[in-house]
Amino acid sequence: MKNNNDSIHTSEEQPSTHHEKPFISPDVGMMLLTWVTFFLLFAVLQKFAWKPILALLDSREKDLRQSLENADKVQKELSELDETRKEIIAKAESKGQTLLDQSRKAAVEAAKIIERKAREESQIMLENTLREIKDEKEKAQSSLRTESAQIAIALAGKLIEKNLDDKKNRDLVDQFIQEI
Amino acid sequence: MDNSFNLDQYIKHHVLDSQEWKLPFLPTIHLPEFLSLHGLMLMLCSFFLIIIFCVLYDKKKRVPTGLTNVLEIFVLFIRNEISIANLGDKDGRKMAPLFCTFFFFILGLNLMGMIPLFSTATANINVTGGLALITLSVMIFGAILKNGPHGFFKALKPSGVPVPALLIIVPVEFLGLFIKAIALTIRLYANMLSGHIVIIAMLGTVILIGAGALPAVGLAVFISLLEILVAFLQAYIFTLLSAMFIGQIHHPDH
Repeated sequence: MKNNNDSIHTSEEQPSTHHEKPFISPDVGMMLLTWVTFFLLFAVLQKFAWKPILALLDSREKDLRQSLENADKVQKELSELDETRKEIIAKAESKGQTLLDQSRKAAVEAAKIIERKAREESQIMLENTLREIKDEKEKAQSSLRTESAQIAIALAGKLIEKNLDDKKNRDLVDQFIQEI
Repeated sequence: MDNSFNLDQYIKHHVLDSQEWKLPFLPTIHLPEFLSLHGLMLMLCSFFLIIIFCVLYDKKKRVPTGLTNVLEIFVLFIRNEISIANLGDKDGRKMAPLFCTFFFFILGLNLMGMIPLFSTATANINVTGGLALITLSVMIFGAILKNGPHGFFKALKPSGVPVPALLIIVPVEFLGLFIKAIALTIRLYANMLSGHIVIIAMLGTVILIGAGALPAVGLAVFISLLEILVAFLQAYIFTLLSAMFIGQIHHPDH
């Protein structure tokens, strides 16, 4: 160390104000300055930095935890909703199927009723027509009978006029009338 | 080659505390008696930290970006991995500001030493001693406040040890508190000082020998990069060990 000091003293570059110090030199003033600086820094940072920063970190952690929990809850609700949706769809499908079956059955029934009614109506109409035909026939027969009698009478009148005496003709007329 | 050049003096001039602040291209600033260069560094570092954390750190952003994001990673790490890990959830959260201040203050001082304009205050044993003394005070007075004087002495006494052995163990444990603080002091001081001595010595050889020693500049760059790592590492180690020591004496059961 002594040699070093010697060399320092001989150095031309050394400023005259430079204080020669060993590497380790206890200095209470420096230590006190370290404390004062540190505690002032600590006080300022505690008030304006650490408190708000750590509070922010805490609140963010809380938010994050809550968000994750919410996300889980939403996921669960979504899956529940999905199940409910599937259930509703299945119910609707089965109900729709039932309705379809019922309406199909009702339609078949209605068709049967309509068919039966149509058949009955057509039967009635047929019967009416037949009755009308029969009546008309009878009417025609009766009118034919009357007409032919009148013709026969007229014919007979004419024949009587010409062959009244003829016995054979008279018989013929009689027979004719009979046949009518 | 400059025959008057003295490497030993050159190194000391760069790493030791002085009353002068040499600025590039500007006249040397002569500091008052009560404020040395390292003292000024402490104040400048505090000023920078206050600017960084009170002004630049955006506390309103919901999602931090940029500088805020980087600083937040450190703050979170100190709170979770150093403070809460060693002191438990309740005390850990309460003590986190102290460890954050320790970490950023030491880191700031270490990193300022890497900038040519500034000096390394943590390469001063009085600064590191002062910081370690704060840890020691928190260890002793914090434990007395928390557990009472009886609780504090109980923490020095390991359970299940026969009484005669306690006569040796208790004084050793008590001395251990101070030794831990001294170890903190020396570790930070020696690490920061030695790195700078190596860098300055490498660069000094270039002045001493001349162009032939130019490869030493490459080595100095490499050591400088290593020093940046050491700056972070030592700040972390000091904070971590402080938390461990405080945790041990505050929670002797664990």
